[in-house]
Amino acid sequence: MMTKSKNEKSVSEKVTKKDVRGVYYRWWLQSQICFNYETMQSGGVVAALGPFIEKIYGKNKELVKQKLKQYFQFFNINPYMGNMVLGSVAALEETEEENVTETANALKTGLMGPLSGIGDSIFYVIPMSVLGAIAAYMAKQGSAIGLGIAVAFTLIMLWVRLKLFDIGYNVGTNFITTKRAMFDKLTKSATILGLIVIGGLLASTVSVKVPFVFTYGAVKTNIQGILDSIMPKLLPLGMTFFAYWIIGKKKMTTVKLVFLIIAIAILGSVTGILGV
Amino acid sequence: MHIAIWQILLLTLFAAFLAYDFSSQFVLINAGVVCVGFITGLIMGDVKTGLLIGGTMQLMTLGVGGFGGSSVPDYNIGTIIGTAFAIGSGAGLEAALAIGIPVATLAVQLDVIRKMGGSFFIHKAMKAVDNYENKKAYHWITSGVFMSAAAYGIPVFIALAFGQGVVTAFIKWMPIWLISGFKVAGGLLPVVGISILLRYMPFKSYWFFVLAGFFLSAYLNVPILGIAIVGVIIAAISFKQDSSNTKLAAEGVDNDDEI
Repeated sequence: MMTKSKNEKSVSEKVTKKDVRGVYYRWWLQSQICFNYETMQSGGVVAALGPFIEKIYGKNKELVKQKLKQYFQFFNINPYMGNMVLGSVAALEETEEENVTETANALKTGLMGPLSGIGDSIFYVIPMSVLGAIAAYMAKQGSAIGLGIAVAFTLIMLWVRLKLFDIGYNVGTNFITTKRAMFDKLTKSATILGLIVIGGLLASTVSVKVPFVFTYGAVKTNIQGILDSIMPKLLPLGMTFFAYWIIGKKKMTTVKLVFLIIAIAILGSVTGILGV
Repeated sequence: MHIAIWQILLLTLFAAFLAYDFSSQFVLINAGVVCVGFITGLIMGDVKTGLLIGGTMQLMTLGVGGFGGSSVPDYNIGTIIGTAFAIGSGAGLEAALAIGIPVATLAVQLDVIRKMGGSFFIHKAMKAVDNYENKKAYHWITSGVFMSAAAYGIPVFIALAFGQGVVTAFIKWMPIWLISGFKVAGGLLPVVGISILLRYMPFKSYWFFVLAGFFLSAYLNVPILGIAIVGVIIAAISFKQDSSNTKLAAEGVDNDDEI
């Protein structure tokens, strides 16, 4: 598919490095700008590649039109990994081979699923949950430091996106298959980090107590005291498992879970069983 | 209720910018809701409350919004409106949650509107390409940003400009049981984000890592940043170990350094 070596790279003299970078910047700024149900990110693809294609095939208006129309095809990918795909598509178009756009579209469609899977874990869910957790925890204590860390990380990621684009352009997307093992290891490590932070988050941010004191004759039993003697943060742990169990049920949605928790909180607080 | 007109306008602009920023994964996304709370607090003149509300709302979303394809409450819009009203009226986190969470669930529709509106722009762009007007096509695509901006900005403006009376009445009406109920809910709601995340991650095969983090916090009181450091260490050890394992397995079989 994409096994061009670096010295073959300067085949096309019609485009400069700046034109190639242009594809990256336009994808960065517009990948999902015209997001729609029919073709999802196709607008971003056309906006990013269009001027580049015009530069290469500019004289042949009919061909440019045909190519752009093909790029309006359905496309939806994790925007980080999208850089890699767009980079390799740019390299493909530079070859000016016949039917190269069909190849490019096949590449795009084929990579959507697998690359999104990797990209969503490494660049989206895990950083967002680890950094979001840290930021939220510190914010609840009145500090914006966690937020600063998260924003700083995102700025670093801007550089990573550029690198991904360059890899796609210079090496091709088979980078991802040859380095598949590395990406899997990275995903696994990031998952471990995520799970450890979640464990800490569970104990530090979920706060609920039982203020209820059970009185029988002259004997008063402090229920929270009993719970604490078993294990600190036992109730937050139990509530998390309850939520984990119930969100796995069919017909349970995120929205329903939120309102269920609020209902439990109000009911618990009215009856005096739950408190802060 | 004290929300000045310039504050309403700034918050409207902020909501419009957010719609763009979050869809292009620009700069704010990793600590999304915290950031929204922070900036709303900044505009409203009470950063601390903004952070508290943003932090609480963030813990309901944590990375994965939906589970099983369900629609996700828009906590960003919920946080803007909840924070603005809570600070503007001098009420606290409880009022912000009581207002912000319903708003967040209603705001799910805004994303639907945005994506449906996007179809109109994409068709205009396709038509322009048909007529050899490529520049025009790019302009139509870029104009999609106005769709998102309007879909998020206008409802925020309307809510803040015309909702003050209703919200003031609501906050005055809020009975003690509801306020204390939401106080408890504030401490309990993080389980939403945590449980969704656990469902998304391989919790069943790696539950012991969650237990490790829990132990560090519950028994040793290590702050979350410290726990993250331990997490990085264990993740790095695992990465190294896996690397040496694959190296042994792949020795002489396949050379994958050729890229």
